[in-house]
Amino acid sequence: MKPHLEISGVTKFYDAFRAVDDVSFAASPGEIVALLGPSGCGKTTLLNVIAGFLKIDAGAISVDGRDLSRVPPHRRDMGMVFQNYALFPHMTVEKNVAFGLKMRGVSRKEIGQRTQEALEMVQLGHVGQRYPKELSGGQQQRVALARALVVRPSVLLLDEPLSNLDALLRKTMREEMRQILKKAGITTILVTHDQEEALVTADSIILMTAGRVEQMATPSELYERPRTVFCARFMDVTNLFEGRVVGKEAGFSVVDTPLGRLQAEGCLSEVGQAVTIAIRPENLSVAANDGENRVRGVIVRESYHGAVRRLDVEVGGCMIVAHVPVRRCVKGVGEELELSWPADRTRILPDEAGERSSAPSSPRAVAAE
Amino acid sequence: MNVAAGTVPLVPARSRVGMNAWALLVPAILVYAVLFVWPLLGSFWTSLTPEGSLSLKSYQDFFVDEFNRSVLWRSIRISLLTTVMTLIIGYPVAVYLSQGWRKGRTLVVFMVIAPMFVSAVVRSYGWIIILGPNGILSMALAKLGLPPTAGRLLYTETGVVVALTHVFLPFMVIALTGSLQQIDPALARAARNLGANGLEVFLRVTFPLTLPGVTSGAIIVFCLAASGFVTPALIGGAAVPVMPYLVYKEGLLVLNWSFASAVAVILLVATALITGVYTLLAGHRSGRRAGA
Repeated sequence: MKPHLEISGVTKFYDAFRAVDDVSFAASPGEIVALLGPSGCGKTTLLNVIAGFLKIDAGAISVDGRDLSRVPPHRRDMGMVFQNYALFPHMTVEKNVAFGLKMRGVSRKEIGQRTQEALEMVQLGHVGQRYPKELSGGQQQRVALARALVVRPSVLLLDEPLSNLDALLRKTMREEMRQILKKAGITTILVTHDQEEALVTADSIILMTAGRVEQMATPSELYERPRTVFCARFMDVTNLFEGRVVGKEAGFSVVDTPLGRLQAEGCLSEVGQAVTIAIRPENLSVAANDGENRVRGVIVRESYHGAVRRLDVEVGGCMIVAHVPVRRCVKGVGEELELSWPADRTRILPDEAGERSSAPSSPRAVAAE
Repeated sequence: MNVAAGTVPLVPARSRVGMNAWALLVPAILVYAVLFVWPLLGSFWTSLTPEGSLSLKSYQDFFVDEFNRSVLWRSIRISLLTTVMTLIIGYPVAVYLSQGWRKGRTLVVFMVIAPMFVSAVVRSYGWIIILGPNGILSMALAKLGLPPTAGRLLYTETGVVVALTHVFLPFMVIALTGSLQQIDPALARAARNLGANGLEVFLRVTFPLTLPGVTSGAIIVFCLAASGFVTPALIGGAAVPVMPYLVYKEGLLVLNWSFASAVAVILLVATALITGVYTLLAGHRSGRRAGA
């Protein structure tokens, strides 16, 4: 599909600091793209650059092939929902929603009609005459969404739209929001630091760090196949071990790690290469033969997390964390157990510094520790 | 610290402060009563007893004479003009100051507050040098080919308004900066994003949200301008008599204390009426906003 929104080589400096560093990606019509990353990774700056609030230092931003880099924000035709909603406190909900239509010179009759429709879309048709501060956080969030959508913008920008809501409301709102966005069929860029929110809401996720794109992938790919150690850590892969490729067996690479010899998959398979092995805690099984890889260890800590029990297991001087279904594990602290997991759930990632393949003690690798 | 000692006294302590909170106001109330309320009541009494017995003669004398009425109107006119001028000049300065990251902000703050460091008399003499018959302003305007009278603002109402605007600008700027700083910067961005240009953002979002600041700034400047004596007396003199000047003349030169008191009371009531009506109107607006 032809891209709708295209970001190419966008760079933004704050004085000497590179807040956004040569970022490129494209979104197809109606796609929801999440910009995910820790605070300070440049995701909000990138969103403000797309909206036109900040000037870019290099690169281009285009919608439907039209370059918008030099177009002022009020002529970019982009809707935005701000982190704190930024509803106008001196206007009623209805006037807030009507604001963009009024600025576009839409007739009064049409303004009334479309405003009402937009409020009904977010199930707030009855609060038009109230002021924003009289609404709950969730209602304010939906008013902000209606205000941004009513002008039928070409692109919708969401800046941490759910971060001010409590945990329970956030969960319902993110699904509701995805439904509304999909129904409107609008290309959306969603900024968030919450990986779960990105996984649930987005069609594709761009994981950013230090102003750069670390990985762009679908939610399942990012979750299951993180490409770097940073991605793996950010997506809650707790078990990361340094290792070295020693050979090949049955389509998998064989890697020597402090846990022992493991079978793993990934694009780095050259013998002798230093790599990092990533294993998701929930892929570990307490049954003895749930996969090619098997280790024995002693439980040193356990904690109850509702759906799962977390076990910290010591294996040959290393700690490995397993999330196991509560009913599956009957052993307690101090007891010995066997963990197993499949080779295709064992990811080979480039070593943290990325380029340590040949010289394990290069200065860069030391600096990264 | 042990838990009981740390937490138990908290609740009684709170209510103790609540009960005795009035005690905190005692010094202020004493000063206010002795230096303000008592003399004010005294003036009011004096104005009602022109010849030793209760009568409205002083008030009648004031309103019968067209000259006195014209002085009242002049005071109100000068105060209103000064208020409007400080608002027009002060608003852009406040916008500049409310953007904290600006370079040279400290210098601008200093320049705004500087008039308050100088005594009213010295400042007024400065204006006399600028506005006088052979003052800097006349000479500069003459160089531009304007008639030599164009810059002679000394002993004119315009001159008084110019000087008062200079004195009271800081109050307006401080009030406006405060309310501008309280506006969430995301609101202007939201308005831009929805298609508003710079002017529309100002007219529909920024300005309406600073109305409380405009109100307090306007009330402060209006009251100060209406009661100001030194500046109008030195710059306007007898040619531009204002109410405080009339009080001074009747009280200290003519020694008609009852009449002087009546003038003071009339000025007080007029100022209170105007600010009261203004506050009601402004309050009505924000009341509508808060209600529903």
